[in-house]
Amino acid sequence: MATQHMATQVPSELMQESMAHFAAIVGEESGEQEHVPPILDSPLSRRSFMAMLSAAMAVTAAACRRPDYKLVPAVKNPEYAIPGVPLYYSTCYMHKNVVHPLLVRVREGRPVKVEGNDLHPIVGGKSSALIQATLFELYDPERIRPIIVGRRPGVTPSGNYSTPANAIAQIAKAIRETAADGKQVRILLDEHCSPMLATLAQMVEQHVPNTAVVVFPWAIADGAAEATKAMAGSDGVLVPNLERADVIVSCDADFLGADRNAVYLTRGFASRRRPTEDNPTMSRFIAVEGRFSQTGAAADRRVVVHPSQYEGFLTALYNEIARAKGAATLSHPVAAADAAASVARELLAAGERGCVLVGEHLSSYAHAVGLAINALLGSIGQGKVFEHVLPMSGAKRPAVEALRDDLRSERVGAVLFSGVNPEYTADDELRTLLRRVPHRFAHSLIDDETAQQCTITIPAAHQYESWGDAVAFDGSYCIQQPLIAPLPINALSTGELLFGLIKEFAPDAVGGAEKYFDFFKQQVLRRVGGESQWEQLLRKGFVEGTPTTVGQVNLSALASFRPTMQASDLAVLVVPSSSVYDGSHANNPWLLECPDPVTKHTWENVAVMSKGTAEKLGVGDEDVVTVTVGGKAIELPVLTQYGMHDGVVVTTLGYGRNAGKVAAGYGQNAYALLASGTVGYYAATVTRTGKRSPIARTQKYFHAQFTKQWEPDAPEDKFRPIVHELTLDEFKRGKQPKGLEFPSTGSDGRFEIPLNIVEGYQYKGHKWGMVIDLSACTGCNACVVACESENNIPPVGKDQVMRGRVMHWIRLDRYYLGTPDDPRSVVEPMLCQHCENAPCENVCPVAATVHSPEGLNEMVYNRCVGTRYCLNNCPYKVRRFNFLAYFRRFYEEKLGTDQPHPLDLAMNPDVTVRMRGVMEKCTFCVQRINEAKYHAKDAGHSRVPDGAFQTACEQACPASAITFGNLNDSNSRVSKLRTSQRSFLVLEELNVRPSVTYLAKVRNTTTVTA
Amino acid sequence: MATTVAHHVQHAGLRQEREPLVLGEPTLHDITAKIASIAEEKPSPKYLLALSFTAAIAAWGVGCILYTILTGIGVWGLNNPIGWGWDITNFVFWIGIGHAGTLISAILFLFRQKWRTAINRSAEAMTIFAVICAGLFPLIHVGRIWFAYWLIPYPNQMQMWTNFRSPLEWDVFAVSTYLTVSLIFWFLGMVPDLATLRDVVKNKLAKRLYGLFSLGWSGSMRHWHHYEMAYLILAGLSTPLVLSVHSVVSLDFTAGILPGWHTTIFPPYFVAGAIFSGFAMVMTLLVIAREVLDLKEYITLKHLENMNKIILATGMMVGYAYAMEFFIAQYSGNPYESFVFINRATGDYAWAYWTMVLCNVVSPQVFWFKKLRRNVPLMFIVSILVNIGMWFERFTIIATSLHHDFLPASWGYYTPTWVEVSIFAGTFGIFLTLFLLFAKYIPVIAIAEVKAILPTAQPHHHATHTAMHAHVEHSHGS
Repeated sequence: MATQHMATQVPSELMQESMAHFAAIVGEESGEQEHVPPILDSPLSRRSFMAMLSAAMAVTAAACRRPDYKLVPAVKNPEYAIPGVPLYYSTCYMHKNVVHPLLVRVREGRPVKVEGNDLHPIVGGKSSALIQATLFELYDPERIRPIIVGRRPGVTPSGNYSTPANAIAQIAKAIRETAADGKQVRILLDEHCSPMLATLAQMVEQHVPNTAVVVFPWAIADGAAEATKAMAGSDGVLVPNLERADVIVSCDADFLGADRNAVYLTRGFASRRRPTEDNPTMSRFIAVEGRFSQTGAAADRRVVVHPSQYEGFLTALYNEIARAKGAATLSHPVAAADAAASVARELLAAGERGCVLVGEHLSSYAHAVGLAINALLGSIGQGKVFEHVLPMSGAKRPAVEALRDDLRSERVGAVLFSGVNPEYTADDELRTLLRRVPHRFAHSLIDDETAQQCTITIPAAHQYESWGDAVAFDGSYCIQQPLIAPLPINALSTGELLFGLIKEFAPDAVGGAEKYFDFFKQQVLRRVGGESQWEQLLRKGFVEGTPTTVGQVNLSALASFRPTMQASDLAVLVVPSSSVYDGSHANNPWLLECPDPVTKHTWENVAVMSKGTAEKLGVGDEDVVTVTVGGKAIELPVLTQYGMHDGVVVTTLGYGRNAGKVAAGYGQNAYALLASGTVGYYAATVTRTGKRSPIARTQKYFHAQFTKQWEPDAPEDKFRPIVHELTLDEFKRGKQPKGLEFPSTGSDGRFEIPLNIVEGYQYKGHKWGMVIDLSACTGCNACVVACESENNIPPVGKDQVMRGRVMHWIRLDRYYLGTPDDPRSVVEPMLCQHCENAPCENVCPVAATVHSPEGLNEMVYNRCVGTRYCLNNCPYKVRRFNFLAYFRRFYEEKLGTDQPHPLDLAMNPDVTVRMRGVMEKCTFCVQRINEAKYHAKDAGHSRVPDGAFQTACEQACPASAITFGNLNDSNSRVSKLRTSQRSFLVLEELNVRPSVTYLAKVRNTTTVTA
Repeated sequence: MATTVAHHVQHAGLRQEREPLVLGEPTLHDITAKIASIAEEKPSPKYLLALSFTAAIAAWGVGCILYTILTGIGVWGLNNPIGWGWDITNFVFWIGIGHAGTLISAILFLFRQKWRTAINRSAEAMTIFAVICAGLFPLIHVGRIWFAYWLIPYPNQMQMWTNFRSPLEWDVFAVSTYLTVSLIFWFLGMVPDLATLRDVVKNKLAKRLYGLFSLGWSGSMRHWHHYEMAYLILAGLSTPLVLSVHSVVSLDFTAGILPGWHTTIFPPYFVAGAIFSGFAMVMTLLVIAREVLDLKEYITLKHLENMNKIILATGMMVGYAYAMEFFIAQYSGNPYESFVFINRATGDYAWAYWTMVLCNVVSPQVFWFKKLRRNVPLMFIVSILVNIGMWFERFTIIATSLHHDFLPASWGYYTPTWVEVSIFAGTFGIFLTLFLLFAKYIPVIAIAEVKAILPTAQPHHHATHTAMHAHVEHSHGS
């Protein structure tokens, strides 16, 4: 009011006077003295002028704001969707012909985390690095968005957009023309295990003229399928149940590594690898190999032989067992007979609980012999180790060779590629022949090498956007339901595409179904029953079914196989990579940056060889060599590895891509070395080039000694007590892992007196802790990628990995014990130990890292200034600093834009995306802890029940090596495991009191005897 | 020189057994005229060339700092095991350099070491500039410099207090206290001289500025009385800081649990090292200043020789510390610790370690010989070697301890990028630019103090005509 009064009193004479004065001046200057200056004429009073002025200012100020976004409630809310509350959908992912039943976490309509379906007996809630990383591929910014029509080779597509119907019609037109010409049409599909796709393929062949569907694998490994078919009549690969095996002998089988069934096999294997005080038993695993594989690293005994001796070794093994069992022996040459004899004794002692696994890349002879051995041992059959056959795992080569013949004779006039990439994978001849086909169409996730050679490219829907199905080896029928509408709006699933083609030619054939979904549901209902079963299927994700079981093994068929492996000085093994597999996941930075489980290199393929071989060639790590196989050569940098035979060089497929901005330019295309796409060993010559190429490794020192280099003959006290292994005998005798001895160390190797001068904090409610079983861990990287996905960890790129700045919150440290010639390996997952006396906490000047009342070492990103003092003072070096703006830098560099849509949708909304300049590290998945606490509170519990939730790493781990829980609950799994005889704390002597307990690795060195 | 000495002996008899602190027997007026002329004369082309050169380096360094701030610490070579590299090495290096100033000024003042007068001003200036350069590094090394002020405890709406348990927090106080006290000490000691310049210079602007900063100094007895008292108190206050600052800086390492850092010898070892490097840097600068500004009469060989003795003594101390570290590492029975030290001498950074030993322990040994102690080119070389060695000492402590610590799987290696090198060079640019400006516009030699140690200023000196002349000037000047 006061101001108002003031305001009303001001229009005084003073004001008028000055106005007049002003008018006078204006008048004088303009020379128009008679005229009253217009300003006085203005109808605007001083007050209204002020009012308008302030209104204008207010409007101006109000205009300076962020653009408005309207929050409008959905007119039709998606089913069950409540903002902020996650939904879980059952679905599955087909990794080639192996199905992974999944439970996918969906937030606000977008899938944010992939987990194994815990109801499904094969995966039991577990997953792998590859499965975890498929989420990235869903949101890959490089996915094809519009349908590309009318592209000519070598011309960048521009503006030729079309609708799916139009594109299918154009393809159909081309097919009609081709058929009219009397030529053939071929549809090339990737390997799958979907009954629906099989049905559709049949219908295509039936209704679309001159058309055949060919399963065209990226890489071919037919040995097992050929052997099984001839010997047991089952067309496919056997899947062993390792839970049932007491003695496992692997002949170069990397069943814990790049195997498609690795999740299941790891589960089975690991279940028998964790002896307890109550049950101190475990399986015995003997690996026969020339390389040092992830699987071999887990072996109790390694027999190192040259690859050309594998067949000889298996023959010798067979002969030993056949003699014992009274069967006919083989007369083929044998190798490593002594080793074979000792292995045979153990297998015979194990009887039907013994098994031989043969590497999938080995010859049909090797597989046939392996099958015969298993048959003699009695481990094949119902309830035995080998019971089930992997569906649709029959030999692939005949179809591919038939296609080659058709192409050679120029019978093929049109070809449609769906999920395959022959331009990248096929040999020179096939690639040239395919390029000559007049009509080429592609159906692909990204604009890959093959799509660039096609006239029409239809964006493929990701499996998480599609309706589909798959069948697992246990006979269960898994449903694939879309979790999100296809991100490229015109994307089609393979099923939709085939359905569209069928409809184009035979509208009646699809039973009146208008849309693919209608047809799909009809088909599924025919299999599972009515509507309620349909709903049950969607909820559970699968229905049980009848598995394909292996038939009776006919030993006489063994005679039809001959050893094929040629002796050679140097054999190069070319197999799918354990991260990007055969290249179908190459454009995925989560996988590219996932370190090789053994050598820890990232981003590319290298030539792995023994130190001796490297010395002979006059090269060292990072020197580039030319690997030549049959006149075809690629150049790879060398990486030396312990424990390998001097005659072996290993490299992997999947790299050296020319398409996909993320993958392109890393590594070399090792498909060039393959003969007609078959993986395996090839006799090779390796020569040095004199060039060097840096390799990005996440770990460079692998020994655990108090010396810089690995000293073979160092006494025991020269070993850092940071990893521990026991033999099964030692474990049974009660031996415990022993730390450093200090004056305060008791006789049991543990501190006797409390080292703190003040009493520690009393944790009253929860006290979170973790136990990691080194005996179970195989180092498969599932936890690494699961953590990456759960916690929005950005890829950093090869250059930054080389600088030592990889951001993974959990790393798998690999240490070698024994001697460099005969190394034993222990994998130690290392993550923030959430120390009670955390050395990082007291050194932070701004208190950005603090301890929670529940025992978590918490990192407050907002408060972090970035001194990196905590990192320096962390004895485990598990803290990760955002040296650059990693949350966007990688994509900026690769794609030239800020973190591009739709990758932002892949982020877990419960976890902060960290900016540059702040420290980050493992949080023990605090967002999951909090979610579990809400649920517990809602349910009226004062504590979170044990096992009510899992951390991301724990949930993914197929070996179940990680256990998380409440240490204050004496009945929790962690509390019990913590008291194990095998338990130890890493760097216990520092008195930082970590919350992560490790259980020592146990190696079963006891020979199995009858 | 022989004649000068003879001259003095003749005049002063037995009281002048020692070498004189000022040569050439200048009058009080000569001193004023000499020092003031530096400030008054137009800058020479040579000076301008030098200044623009150093300023260009400084500007390049500042540009690289801006680049770092805008892009991220990732433009440096740091990585996951090695969170600190050149940044903190340079910080400790510059802090060490800054030590001699206070030591020469305060401690030698308290011990009535009159030879300090010729060098204390420039040594103090060096301290200030070095601490400015030092302070820059902890500031720019943080990931988010825009929040660096959170290290200062101030009442705030976040209700967040700093973590007083962190040695880095102690650094904030130690370094800022040191800078403040050194700055006041330097400025206070300069007031009488600034007043002298105020009275002498002709340039109006310069006169006003000198007038402003001389705080109305009139040279009255009362002023002198208060001045001497305040100076003494500040000297007393600065002295413990010499010990505390570098002790606190060393606690950054000792409070960590890293082998190679976690050691109790660091506080005294760092202080000795700081004095060592500080004296070496003063030596480097003085030898140059002596030549360039023609101050040979004021900065005599005796001064330099005394400093060389201190360099020798402190060099032996750090040498002892190196040996003791090694011994304790083995004697402790802690294998992690003994590994780190063996790795220092034989590992990836052995070249840095042995550079350090050669420069810091071996090279000062030449000063056992009087002839070499008084050899100006040699001491110049040794002083530079010591500076290099002391830089490597800090680098060795930081990088070798970090790069191979507890878990071999996390081991790494660190090489700096051009950005880090440029920033370090840039701080030399800043340091030298400030020093050149100082040398030109501020009395490089404490006029009043030098006058006080002249034979003419002694009570028993024969009053000559020159002394009379100076006396007149003294009353209204300094």
